[in-house]
Amino acid sequence: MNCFEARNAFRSLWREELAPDARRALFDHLKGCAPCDRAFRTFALSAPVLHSEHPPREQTAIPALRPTPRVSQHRGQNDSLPVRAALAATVMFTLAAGLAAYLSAVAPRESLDQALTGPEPAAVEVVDTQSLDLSNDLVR
Amino acid sequence: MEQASAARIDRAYAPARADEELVAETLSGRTAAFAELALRYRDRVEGLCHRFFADRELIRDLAQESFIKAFAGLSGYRSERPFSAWLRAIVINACYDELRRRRRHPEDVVPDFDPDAAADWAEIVRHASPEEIVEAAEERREARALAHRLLAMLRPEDRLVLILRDAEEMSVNEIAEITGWSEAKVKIRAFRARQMLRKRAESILAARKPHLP
Repeated sequence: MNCFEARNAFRSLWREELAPDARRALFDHLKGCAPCDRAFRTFALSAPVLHSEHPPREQTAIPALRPTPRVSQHRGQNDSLPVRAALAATVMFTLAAGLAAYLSAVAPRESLDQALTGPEPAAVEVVDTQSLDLSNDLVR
Repeated sequence: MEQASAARIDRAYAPARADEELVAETLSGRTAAFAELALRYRDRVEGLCHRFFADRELIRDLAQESFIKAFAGLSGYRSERPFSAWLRAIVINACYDELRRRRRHPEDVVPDFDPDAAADWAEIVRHASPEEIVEAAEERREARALAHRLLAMLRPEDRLVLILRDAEEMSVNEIAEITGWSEAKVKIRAFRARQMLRKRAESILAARKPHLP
């Protein structure tokens, strides 16, 4: 591997896209070439932002809408309906996730925060929970 | 009611629809179709914002602002161009505006910057083997923080062009279209920005006790 090839491979190395042989060849080159080694180190300082494939992101508010704890509480009281309860939870989560994404897309942050923390989650109006007799547990 | 629930489940498991189809639905009044678009692109939008800023709150705000602008300007979208490229231009403009707003306060770019941790990371980059550096970088939060601080030392235009050209791998032509600059200006600015970045990085590595921005 020559210097030109080595420097062109920095980005692929950082993104773990290099084949093992090429990776080994690059490291060998860097060991014996001081200018390329220095170039790699300067590259490495900005690479976590400029060359990482997937910048880390933390969980946003959508998963917080999962009603699973309430469902599992209720299942102990009404074992004859576990499948329907799971179905209701799935439907509710799907709708709530879509709604939260919609709110995050079109509404100011204050509105989204209110939707997440307020006493009346917006999902209430679109989920049929009465037939499952789960309405209080699921949508409160 | 049960039928309605079943229909919703069917929709939830239906194959993904084309972006243009969802745009058309949104424009025809079914605004919930935009939620699907927002969900589809949220990671990519936040990922792009993350190239510009480290502050997670700010990233969420910028992503949200971008989706609001996209929603408000959806009637101006033309399907000859991919929706993703149109949305990306909106995000880039939002981030660039924010960069310019903060140009006098680069320290705001990484609000919880820890100089000691960053200095430790700079020492690793100075002394560890390249293999160790690559392996350690992903797990070290300060590696990203230091990279953001390093980039914050550049002018907003330089930072923008580096992110678009080197991180997002956009063509000179695409960058010229988004920024309104000539292609020659994009090339010159990218060249100068890389030089400037290299100089700044070298000054960090050259110091015995790394001088941090």
